[in-house]
Amino acid sequence: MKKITAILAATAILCAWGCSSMNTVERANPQSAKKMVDDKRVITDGNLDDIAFIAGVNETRTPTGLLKIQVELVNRTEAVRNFNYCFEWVDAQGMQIASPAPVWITSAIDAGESKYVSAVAPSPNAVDFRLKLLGNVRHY
Amino acid sequence: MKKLICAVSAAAVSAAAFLSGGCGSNAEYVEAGGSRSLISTDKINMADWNAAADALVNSMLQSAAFAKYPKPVLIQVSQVVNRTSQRIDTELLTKRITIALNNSGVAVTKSTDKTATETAEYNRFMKNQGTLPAAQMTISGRIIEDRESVGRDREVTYTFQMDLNADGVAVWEDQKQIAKQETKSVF
Repeated sequence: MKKITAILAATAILCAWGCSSMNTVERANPQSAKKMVDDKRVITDGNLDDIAFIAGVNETRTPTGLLKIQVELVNRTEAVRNFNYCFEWVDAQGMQIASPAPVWITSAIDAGESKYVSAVAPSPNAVDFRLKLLGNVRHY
Repeated sequence: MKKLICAVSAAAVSAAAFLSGGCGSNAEYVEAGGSRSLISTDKINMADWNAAADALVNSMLQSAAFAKYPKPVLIQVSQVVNRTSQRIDTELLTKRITIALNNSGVAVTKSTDKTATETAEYNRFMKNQGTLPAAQMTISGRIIEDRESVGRDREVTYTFQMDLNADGVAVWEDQKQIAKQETKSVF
């Protein structure tokens, strides 16, 4: 009986430590006007879609005229998670702009957290983008 | 007797498998600095260089620092001070930044190559032109390391600071911090 109590207590402590979730507050009527992007999604990993759910994509131009994309991600799970993301850029002819090479960025997202990831196009020729998301593949 | 032969055969097969496995190589290609590249708390890994350069370039390109200059702005990379415990090549950071700036059409980098500079100076002299134009902006920075350990947990934070200067004024400054944690094994 003592053993079962100890195990339950340990589980409760672990859950309380590992399951802390994020609370947020923001203006009820936002003053900012986002230029949202109609997006097309290909979801092959349902678990990852819970870890980094794409809540919205918006775009703007930098002062030098480059395209900037911002994606809002939400962790719908009950634990902090790592994920990887990478932006790829495409010109008007549909060719990938590959220099400098796209970079995979590893990021952490807390339970219930809403997080923005953004990137500026590497060239004024960039007209389209693709955001790639990948779960934590470093298992060591 | 049969049991003995079986045991010896099994041992021989296991030994052969172990030896062939040990002699072979399991090396494979991974994307440099990619999601499967190795990371450690001992040093700045390729993924860290890429992430820092990417964040700083994004910040630089969306600032208004270049907006008031006719494009492309002529820039020169100044010193990036290494305040870490490691011997590092800071071009892993600055080169990626200048490549991105050149490709963006916002800025071009002044060459530091001796032959390129001498050739350009000679050509300008022959055409009765003045000396090479000075850079309109310079890039400089610092890389700082901070280590923390509590019990078996270790944490290292690298701070990549960078500034863009024009006429002695920092027209853009930013920093990217990358922190890594690791729990050391008891053994």
